[in-house]
Amino acid sequence: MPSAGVFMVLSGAVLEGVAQVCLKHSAAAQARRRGWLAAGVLLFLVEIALYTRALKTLPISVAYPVSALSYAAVVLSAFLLLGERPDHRRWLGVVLIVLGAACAIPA
Amino acid sequence: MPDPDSALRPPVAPTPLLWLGLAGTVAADSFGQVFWKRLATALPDSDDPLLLLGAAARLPATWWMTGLLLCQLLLWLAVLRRSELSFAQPLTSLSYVGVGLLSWLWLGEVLQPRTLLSVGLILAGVMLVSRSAPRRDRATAAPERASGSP
Repeated sequence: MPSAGVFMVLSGAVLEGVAQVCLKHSAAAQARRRGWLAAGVLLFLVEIALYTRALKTLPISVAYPVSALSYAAVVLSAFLLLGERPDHRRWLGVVLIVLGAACAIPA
Repeated sequence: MPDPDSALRPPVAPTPLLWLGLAGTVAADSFGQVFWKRLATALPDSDDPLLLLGAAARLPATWWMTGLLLCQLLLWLAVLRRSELSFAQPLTSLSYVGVGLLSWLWLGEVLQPRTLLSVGLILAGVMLVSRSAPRRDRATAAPERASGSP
């Protein structure tokens, strides 16, 4: 069962995916640009707080590889929320990152 | 007539200075991450955000981390001026190797074989995710002009 620290890092990775979508909206939007920017920055700050809290108990040799899931989260968020269409190479990259992060989590 | 997109298409061949910049970017990121770990372990056990921020501000690790991550940003911007993003971005994932090494050498963390496997998989995955489509060479661009028509 993954520790609370791992869950914090995982949650942070998910938040980063959503944060990047907010920043993308901020860059592309005609209206409510500041709202999207504020949302993105707030999510990043929450991610930083979660990651720092996780580092209190989790070795960085575990936390940092698990945080790579943010790459996967960004691709997934872009696919689900922005309608982007990653090619097969990116999807394979996502799979490898998920496998790599899973390997880093202690049994 | 100068090419308005030339600033977005820097020379492809990496120079020694570019390699140095990339190495510096990876090193700054790796050391910055380790200082982040030192900062986290030094913080008091509290849920009060103001207390935590105050404690963090008094820790040398905070300032080292901030300085190193700023250095990383500046070096990265310099690298991007001299390199294609699709070349440089995947190489920054070498910080996963750097952090692993530093966690072992400096923090005394034990690196399990699964950690090494993890880093290898993530490196491969990040490189695949980060690579963008290759830019077209100028010699093969706009073939419709070869006919000589105005």
